[in-house]
Amino acid sequence: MKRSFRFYLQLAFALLVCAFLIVPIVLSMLAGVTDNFFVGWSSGFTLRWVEQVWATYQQTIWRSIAIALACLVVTTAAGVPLAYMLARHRGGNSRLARAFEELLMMPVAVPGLATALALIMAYGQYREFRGSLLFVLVGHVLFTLPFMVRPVLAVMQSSQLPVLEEAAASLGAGLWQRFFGIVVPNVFSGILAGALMVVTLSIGEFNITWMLHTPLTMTLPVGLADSYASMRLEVGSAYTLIFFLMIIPLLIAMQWVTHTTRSRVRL
Amino acid sequence: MGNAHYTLKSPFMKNAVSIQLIQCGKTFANGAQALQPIELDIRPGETVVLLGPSGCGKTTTLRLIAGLEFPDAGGQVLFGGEDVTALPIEKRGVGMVFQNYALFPNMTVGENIAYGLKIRKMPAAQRLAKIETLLEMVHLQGLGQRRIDQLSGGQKQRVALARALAVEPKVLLLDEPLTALDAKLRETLRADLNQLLRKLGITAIYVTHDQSEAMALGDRVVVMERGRIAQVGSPQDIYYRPASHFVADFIGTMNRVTGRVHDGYLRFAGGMLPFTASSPAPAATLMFRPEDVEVVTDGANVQGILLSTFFLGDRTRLVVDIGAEQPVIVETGKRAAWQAGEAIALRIEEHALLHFNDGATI
Repeated sequence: MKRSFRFYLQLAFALLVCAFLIVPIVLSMLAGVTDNFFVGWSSGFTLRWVEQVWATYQQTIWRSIAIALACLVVTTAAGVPLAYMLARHRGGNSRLARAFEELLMMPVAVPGLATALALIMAYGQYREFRGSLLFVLVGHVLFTLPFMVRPVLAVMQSSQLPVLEEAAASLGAGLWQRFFGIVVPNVFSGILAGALMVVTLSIGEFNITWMLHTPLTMTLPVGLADSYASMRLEVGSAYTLIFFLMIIPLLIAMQWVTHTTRSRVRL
Repeated sequence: MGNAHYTLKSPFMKNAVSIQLIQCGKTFANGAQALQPIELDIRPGETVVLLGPSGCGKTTTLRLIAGLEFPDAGGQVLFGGEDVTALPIEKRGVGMVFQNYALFPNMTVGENIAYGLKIRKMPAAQRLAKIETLLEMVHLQGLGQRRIDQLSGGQKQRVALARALAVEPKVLLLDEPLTALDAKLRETLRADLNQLLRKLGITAIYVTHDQSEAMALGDRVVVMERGRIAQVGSPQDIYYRPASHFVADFIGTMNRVTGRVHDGYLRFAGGMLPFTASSPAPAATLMFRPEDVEVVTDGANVQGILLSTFFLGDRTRLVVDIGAEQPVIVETGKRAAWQAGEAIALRIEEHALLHFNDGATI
């Protein structure tokens, strides 16, 4: 196959852009396994830094995963019924429903520090709560809830859910039976898309968490900032490496799910 | 069919209830009055078709009966004499078939059919047996394991029908069930549906805008117009004895001749027709069906000029100018070499003539 000169020019440009974005990431990951980054790769490769991060920050990793999962549970339990209520209120297109959706997006638009500060001002005096992981979870739920509600609501609006529910009701199904037997299975693609988004965002959340955390409730991204600020560059890079190993499979899964469900939404 | 219908026949016969709508009106939240207070009596086991153009209130009426909408204050819905006005759809024991099938995409054909039975906590073994019986009834033997997206439109609607009948509802409600299908499938399914409804003896209410469907399926037809009932009657009543100008015009093809009333006759350029009704104005309109006009050699009461012909195989449709405002349409079984422009003599019997005072001089 003969390609024109233009094709190669465009390919080169695309590769250049990709390189511009990817090289720093690869560099950072390599730094995490380099013995001495300032000397260069000639100093040899080592897993020492990774081990050190694992020893020092292991707790933040488990904590981040736990918070992400708890966040997922809360946003699913709250977000799916919320989307359902919004969709039932005149197909989710009423002024009330839209206003509610806008309101839900607020914590995403407002700088995380401001949200966190507001939370601290409001609930800071409850010492137990303030110092617990629950406080960080509240921040994460505030931030990620719209990312669960929106895809679920979109699927609800695009499918013929109202008439499916009418059919189920005519067969004797009450509200709960309809919700769990008809609504949830038929918006599952939306829930899945939302779930992956929520988990990914929660694991990487820094702004709100940075303000809310205490030394005992430090999460992975906050720990990363901590290590870059106070330790060798190689340690921070090794930390980044671990973060990537966690987040990349998630991102791939997200792509795959959105791809496979897009064709099923039409049903 | 075997003896499948036999086992299903009895419960429906026994269950069939009458339905009464008493002063049922419906005003929506935005103030639009979809339905003016109507009265309707449906006998047990009867198939009633609600017929009318879109926006006439037929679907609203069906949804009131289903319990998907509730009538304005003062309205009452009775099933077998029992007041069900306040009951939501899940408590009314109705089976419903929708225009766009509304099958559950997350379930197989069999699971769809068994959904209502599962809700009613019927044991699995019994459910399986029932699925088979129902599949046989709607001619879909062996398709129980299929996914919904593997079915054709006609098959989907058969599944929807089986699903609605599975719970042995007191009333079967069908909302334009054939509209989404192509013409040929519609014919077949209509015939099957007709047979099934007669066999089951279930009280059925069928909404459609298609008059041929209404004629073919209904024991009685309720013609609706702008939120009101225009006429209730057998298909023959509706066709031969329309109660209003609207009904006459809506059902089938209707000819219209406007002229001046004088001495018991309606006179126009092409002739005159007996006019016995009293007309408030000197101008009046008579209506008649194309098949009630005879092409004759003598004894004609109307003369005209042939404008065009359409050969339909078993008959020929003639468009004849009789000097009135509109040409008339005549359908004849006569075999002749019709020539546009030739003079033609027509005879219209007095009993075929219809006159309405409501807006007849349009």
